[in-house]
Amino acid sequence: MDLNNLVEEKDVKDLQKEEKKFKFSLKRTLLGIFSVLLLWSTKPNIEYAITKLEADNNSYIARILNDTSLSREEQISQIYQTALMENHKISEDLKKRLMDAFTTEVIAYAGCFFTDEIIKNMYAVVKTEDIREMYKFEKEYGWWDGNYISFSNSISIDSMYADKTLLAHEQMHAILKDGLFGSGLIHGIHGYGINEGATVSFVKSDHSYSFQNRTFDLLGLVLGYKDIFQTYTNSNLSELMQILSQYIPPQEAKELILLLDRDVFRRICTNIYGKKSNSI
Amino acid sequence: MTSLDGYAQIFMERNQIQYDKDKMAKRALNYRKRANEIILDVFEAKNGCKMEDPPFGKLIMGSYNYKSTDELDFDKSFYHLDFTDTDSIGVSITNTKHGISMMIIEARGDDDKNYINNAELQTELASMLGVSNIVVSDWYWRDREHVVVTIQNIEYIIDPNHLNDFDYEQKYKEFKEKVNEHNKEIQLENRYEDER
Repeated sequence: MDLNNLVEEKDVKDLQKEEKKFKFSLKRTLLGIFSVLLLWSTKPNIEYAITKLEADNNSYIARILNDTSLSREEQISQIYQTALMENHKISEDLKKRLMDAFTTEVIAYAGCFFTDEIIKNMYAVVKTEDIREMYKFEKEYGWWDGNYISFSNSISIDSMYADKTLLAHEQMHAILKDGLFGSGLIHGIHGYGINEGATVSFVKSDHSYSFQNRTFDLLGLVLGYKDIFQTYTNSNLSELMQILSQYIPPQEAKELILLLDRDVFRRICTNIYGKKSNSI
Repeated sequence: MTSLDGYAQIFMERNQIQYDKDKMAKRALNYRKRANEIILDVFEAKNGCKMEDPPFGKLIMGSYNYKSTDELDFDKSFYHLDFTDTDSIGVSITNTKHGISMMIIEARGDDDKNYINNAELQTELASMLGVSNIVVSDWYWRDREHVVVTIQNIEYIIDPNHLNDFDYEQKYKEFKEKVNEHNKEIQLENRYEDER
């Protein structure tokens, strides 16, 4: 073997080493980027989780909740206001609008259904939530004017139509954020319709989702509002199904929930199609 | 593409849209009908009696959009609206931003005192309305922008601030007129659609 061959072999080995190094550093960089992104995306939920822990042991909240001189509505209102003031993501103007909307539309109207657990969860959500403008795509194709995204703990609104009813509606979704209540009405597609109908029942001037809301109200009327409302505040769809299953076959109970979901999707499809047709 | 082709295309597409809208409307109607059937099943199972049998009366539920918007064009139709030949009738109307949504409970039978005689249901309603006792309860659509109408001489207690001076007879008359107006509107629109 001559010297040239030896040099060439060494060069190849060096190159292979370099390649290995490069691949390793690339993998490490990608992993790093992925981890940062993952951490970044879960940041809102980490913030929420920490604040929730804090809320559970917060002496101020405990004091307010134990203050018998205050009505339930006053207790909720004070804690809501405190959480909102401690939120650094929302503008002052929006805070004022949210305060007004949630106080008049939800607290004064349905505050009596709020348990201590809901109030603590409300504190954690409101303190850490964000409000952003809805994406252009949503505005163009969605028939909704706002929504709450649990994953990022943020409410998105179309500011053109964000009246106090809409703000209160989305805030109501938000305060029943998962993590406290486990799986149920808030999660996934199944139960979407009844969740919306129930939320409308908790917001005074909200008249959206009329079919879903009417069905929820009828169930309350026939089976007792207290129990039916509790399934919503507990975000427990299976609890609702259990109540229904005492009177009708479980399959029929499932069908009822599914009918409400289907109707929502029918409206979404109709609206998308309608909007397309307008652009002809 | 000539302008004529363009018009033809628009015409065809519009016809297609119309077809889809009808299909969607039918679908919506079926969802609502079925949902109401299920709720009736729940009611009947809970109260141990058929809705048609007195004293519970017959429960009829309707969705009625008085002022429909583009969005709710598909929901315009309502599936049961019959005021004829009733001994007593309870109507709950909810004003929605899209119009009026209502629930009608028609009670059949002479004895209105037995309109709702299920003790548990009465207790729930009394609790819901914040009153100690319901002599003869009416059906109530929670405390929001709505009216509860009960025809005939039925005594019931509801938050006096809400409905103290409410003229039930007059409201029922007005409501019936609105329904008739709306029926006429639908007939006219149907005729217009047919002609087109």
